[in-house]
Amino acid sequence: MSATMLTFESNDGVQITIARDVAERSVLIKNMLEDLGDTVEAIPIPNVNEAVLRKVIEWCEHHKGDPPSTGDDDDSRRKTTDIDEWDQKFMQVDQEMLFEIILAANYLDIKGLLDVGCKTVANMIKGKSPEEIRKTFNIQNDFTPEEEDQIRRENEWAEDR
Amino acid sequence: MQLLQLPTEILQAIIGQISSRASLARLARVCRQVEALVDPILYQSVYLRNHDGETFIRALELRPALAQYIRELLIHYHYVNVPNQQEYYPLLVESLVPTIRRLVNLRRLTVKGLLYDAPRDYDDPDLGNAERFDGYAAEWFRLFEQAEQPGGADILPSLESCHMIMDDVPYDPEIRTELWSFDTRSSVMVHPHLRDLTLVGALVGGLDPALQYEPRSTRLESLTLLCCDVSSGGLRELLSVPKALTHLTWKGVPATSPPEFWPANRQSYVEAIRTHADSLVSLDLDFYAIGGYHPPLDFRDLRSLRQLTIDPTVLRGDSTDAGGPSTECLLPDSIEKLVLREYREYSVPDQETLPLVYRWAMTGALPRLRSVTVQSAKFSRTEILHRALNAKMCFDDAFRSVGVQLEYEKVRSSLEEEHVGFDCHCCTYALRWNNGLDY
Repeated sequence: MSATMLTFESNDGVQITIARDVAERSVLIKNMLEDLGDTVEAIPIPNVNEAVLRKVIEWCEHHKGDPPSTGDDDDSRRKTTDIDEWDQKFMQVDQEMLFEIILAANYLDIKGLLDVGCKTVANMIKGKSPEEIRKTFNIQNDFTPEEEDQIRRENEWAEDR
Repeated sequence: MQLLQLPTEILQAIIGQISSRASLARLARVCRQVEALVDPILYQSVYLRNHDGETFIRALELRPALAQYIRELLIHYHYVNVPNQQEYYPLLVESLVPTIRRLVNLRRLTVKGLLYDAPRDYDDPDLGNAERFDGYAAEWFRLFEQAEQPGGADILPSLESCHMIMDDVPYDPEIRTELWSFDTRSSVMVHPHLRDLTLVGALVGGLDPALQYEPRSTRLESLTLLCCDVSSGGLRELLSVPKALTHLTWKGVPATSPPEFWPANRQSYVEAIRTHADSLVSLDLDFYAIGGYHPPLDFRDLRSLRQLTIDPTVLRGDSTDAGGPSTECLLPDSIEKLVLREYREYSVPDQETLPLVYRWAMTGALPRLRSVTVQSAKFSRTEILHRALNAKMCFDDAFRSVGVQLEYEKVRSSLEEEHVGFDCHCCTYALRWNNGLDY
């Protein structure tokens, strides 16, 4: 019989105990448990601090009943940037936390959470001018005005008209 | 932590979530690091509208590396919002040929062209712009011709799908309009890797005589002809190129009156199709012409055919002949699904074909038949399925008794406008139009 509860330790030394089915939203952990068999010791999560780990667990708790992702990544561009309401609220955090959640989701291999994180950032980009994007994400413009104008002309076909 | 400190793969995933080309184009101007990440995604699918061809050609000249990112190219030229015809310099797709040639990773090419330009001073006073247009068609011809030449095998090596709508599909019954010529652009047929080809509104007389090719050699699997004016000899020539065709669709009335090729001898087209009897799995065939005597079509030689979509009157032929419709089954025993659609619907649905198919099924001539679908724009499910076959049974019960599911599907009228490639109000076609020749 496999344990129903598991304990994880964040990189700042805090232990958190959660149900196994919640933890298994992470493919990394699911695979690790398959290799490890039963364990009673706390499993270290070296890349994630407590605050982020709690957020990630909150997401996994909410989504524990979701069907597993099929992983069929076709290259069609028609992707939806619709995010369900709960996830939208969940992602209302500062940029630092948003990027940390994305990194943790990537490390822990939680595809659903990674998608929601990427879509959230994508929505912050869409509809904005280059200058607005720079301001939003604190990015330095390293183009000369001529270079920027040149790129604008090259990509003219892509503009909305 | 800043956005640009995220690992490249995550930044790529974020950019991949942005479906708006305009948003991607603005993002590319943010900084060099972002531009390098956006370009491969922005240029995966390029969509050119009126007058975009020139900026696109320039972009690829300035940065040749962009060419390798392009997997899909959509060209959408049309004749709207043209303020001044004289300034409407040629937007013909063929001017893009040298640029298209460089797209080594191009998989899908969809062209909605426009065969129009105002007369120019330098045009021949008698011929008008016809000469220039012929020159452009020759450009297109050379593009694909070289794919077949030794040493030219790397022309568009990744191309799998091509949709050619080289001109607006006209449908003004008052004017006899010319359709664009497939023959002068027929070298696309010999592309060695192309799997899916769709032609809309083309005049298809055959392959260009100058075309050199190995018969039955290409990978083409699916050929779709919509509202094309096709000769049976032309169809036979087209079908002499692919090795093993699996899907063939030919339907819709050419929007020109009268057509160049009247499909009077229907069986001659079926004979041409029969050259792919070993591979053809599905066939969607629609003979538009009525009038005259048309015998039932014999499909029995198409021994691999699993699905047939056809007009019921075309299937059973003209019953005015002495003796009425043949009772002999004319479908191959491989048929699993039959779809019947009357493109012209009158006051009652077709009465004769379903009893015929039922009889074929009952006598064991169609052992694999699982479903018969009747499509209709005009009649209801009840009118189609619940008609009485005889005193005891209505149609759907009768078919069920022989293990065949009779289904009903509501469809749009064949007179309604359809789109291929682009959801554009002026770039449409219809399967039928009121040309006075097909009622």
